[in-house]
Amino acid sequence: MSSLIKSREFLLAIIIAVSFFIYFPYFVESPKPIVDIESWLVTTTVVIASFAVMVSLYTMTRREVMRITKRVKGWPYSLLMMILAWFMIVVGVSLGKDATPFRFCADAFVLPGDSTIYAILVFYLTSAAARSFKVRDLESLLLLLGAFFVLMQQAPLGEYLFPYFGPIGSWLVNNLAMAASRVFTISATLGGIVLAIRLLAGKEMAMIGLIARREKD
Amino acid sequence: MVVRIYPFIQERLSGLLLLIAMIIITFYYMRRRRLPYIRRVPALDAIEEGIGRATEMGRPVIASPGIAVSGIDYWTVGALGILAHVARLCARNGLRLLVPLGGSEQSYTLVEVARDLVESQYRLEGVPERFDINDLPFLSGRQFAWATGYVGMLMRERPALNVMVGLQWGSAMYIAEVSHEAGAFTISGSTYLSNIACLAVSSEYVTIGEEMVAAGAYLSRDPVQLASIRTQDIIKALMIAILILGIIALGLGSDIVKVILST
Amino acid sequence: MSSLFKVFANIDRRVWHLLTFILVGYTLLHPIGLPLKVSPEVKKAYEVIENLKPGDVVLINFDIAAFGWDEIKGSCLSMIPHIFSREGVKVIFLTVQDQGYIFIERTISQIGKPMPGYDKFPWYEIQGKKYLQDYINIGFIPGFDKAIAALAQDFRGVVGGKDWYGNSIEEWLDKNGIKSAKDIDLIVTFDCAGAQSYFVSYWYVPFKTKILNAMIGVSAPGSIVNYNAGMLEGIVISIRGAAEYQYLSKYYGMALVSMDAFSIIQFMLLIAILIGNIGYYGWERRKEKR
Repeated sequence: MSSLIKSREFLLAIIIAVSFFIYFPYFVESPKPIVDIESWLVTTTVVIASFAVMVSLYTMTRREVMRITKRVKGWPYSLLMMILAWFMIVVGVSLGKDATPFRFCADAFVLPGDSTIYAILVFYLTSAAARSFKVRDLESLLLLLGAFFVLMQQAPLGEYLFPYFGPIGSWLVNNLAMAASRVFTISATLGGIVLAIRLLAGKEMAMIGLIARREKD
Repeated sequence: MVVRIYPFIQERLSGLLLLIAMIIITFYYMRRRRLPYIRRVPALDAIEEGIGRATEMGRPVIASPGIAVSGIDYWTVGALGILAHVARLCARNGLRLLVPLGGSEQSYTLVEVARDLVESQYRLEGVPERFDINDLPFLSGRQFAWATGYVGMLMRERPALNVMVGLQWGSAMYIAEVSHEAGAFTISGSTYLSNIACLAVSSEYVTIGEEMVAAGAYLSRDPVQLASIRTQDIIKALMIAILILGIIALGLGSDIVKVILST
Repeated sequence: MSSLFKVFANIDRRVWHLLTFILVGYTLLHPIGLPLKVSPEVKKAYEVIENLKPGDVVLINFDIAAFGWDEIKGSCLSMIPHIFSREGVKVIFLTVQDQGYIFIERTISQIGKPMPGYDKFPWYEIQGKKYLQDYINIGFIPGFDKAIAALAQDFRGVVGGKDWYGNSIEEWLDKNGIKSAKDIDLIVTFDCAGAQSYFVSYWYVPFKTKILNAMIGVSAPGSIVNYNAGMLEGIVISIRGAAEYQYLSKYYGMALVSMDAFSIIQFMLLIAILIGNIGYYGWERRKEKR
């Protein structure tokens, strides 16, 4: 039985069945049982996403405990992280998400930490502007000019000093940048479709996690 | 004018036809004996140059397949192809490879795949004992916590080469700058429009959008991936043709192309 | 002169970091009060909310994580009171980010006050609108894009019968005629991670639901594409958009105050680029040639 479940054919059969129940009702007027199965499959992915969090928790704990027991360089930080992480998990699960200790940890550690690292970006952007935004050729000059107009359009002071920054910057954003963005959107969409086709064909080894087996073959 | 052909749902028939066309074209190229041609992306030479630099300096290499926000998606598969290539070169040259994993809630799915992939490359090169799973840590499921861990690894390990491909969001600029500060040769892949300009100026080499996926396919020489790239190119050419036809038709006062696409 | 070029070419990054800190800090503490021009996208977003009718159901999505909160809170603290000021409008809060529920509660506590006889969540009233009468909070639904797709597919099934605090909401949903995704009249999504593209795919495409999007700056290009394609009714981009919305709606806040610092940092970036290039051409390039 376990060899059947682990077999490539079984995994492919699941993928094909799920794909049929998702694609068919999307394109064709389908009877209610098929539409209900589609609904159930889509809502089940929410449950699967939740389980993925537990997998990461297990992986992280296993690794950090090993680092602590082996006294690997930097192990005190692993210990601190484990204590904080598990404290929040235990308190959150037992006392609830509104409990004061849980809220304290979130408000004192998690949220400020996240905000601070994002805020650091502005400092690195400034130093990068001085270090790397150099006009070496025509393309970099065009890039710089585009950046100049968009920056001036964004800054209220820029529009105040010279009103035409607004229309020029907007034109650049709404035409050139948007065209590039559409290219990425189309590429990603087509890429997603071919990835699905590869899955259905059973040729996407990364997804089915059969890389090692394939290499052995 | 709106056209509906029973039993197809309105506005979806053209999408279905496109999907069928893509399936047929992909399968055709998958089964062809001759592999579709893909030009060599310049960043690949840069990777080899970086590996050479790392070998001379005796410093490790750090490579990231991105944050995989939507799980193992199109960009991440391309990045995994490049990661496999970097892993193979590191195994061959006796270099230590660090792979910081994480960055989003869905990146958990990427962790096992990336570890499996890197271990396979070491095994294929005949040096499975050099693979150390501790060098492929899962740092965090949060983007900026992961970026902080990545930056910490850069500052502590001082790698000679930093390959950051795959889906990178706002943290890419931060990592690229610190990478330069750490003295690493940076090769990045940008799939996010906001990052392109920043990564282009702060990295030594940058692959934009699909170049990264094409590089992954080129390196793997996998007929399936090559067939996918060729399919996409054909469909894009078709889309450009439809776009031009649509513009001409609209100019002549006809919305026939729009009606066909909306069927 | 060449020594000046050399200095420009070799300015330590910490000098730039310190300058940034000083300039931004000073301008935040002592704003100048520069005029602000309102962009058409924000005006359109304002009008969509202004034209909400009694009985309209608004779904407010908080795709907000801690890193984006400071950038997007200006939009939240002006757009949400504006929505609540519309007569007869019903509101559903939800979040697809695990930290999002914290920001929903922060927003509600800042724009509302506890209902008479209550002193904790969720029993807050916002502009006279009471919890479980005029609005509910579903809280966090895991899965991000899958959650958004699932909600569109089977709204009541995914939402379930209880809100984030365990109170029954079946009656409230039935009373307000919310049986499926088609019954939602407007989605307002505050994005740090690009949820708007999934709302467009799973809500706009099949149901033509109106969507307003307020987002952090890095997510702007994707939103602009959908706005220009007509899939988003209005967009509020980053802190600048938030400042414009605060100005229009008269719910003034820190975003307006931050505009001067915002202008200063943009100019500083340009000066940094200029100095970097002067140093490059005056010293580095000559060094390379030699």
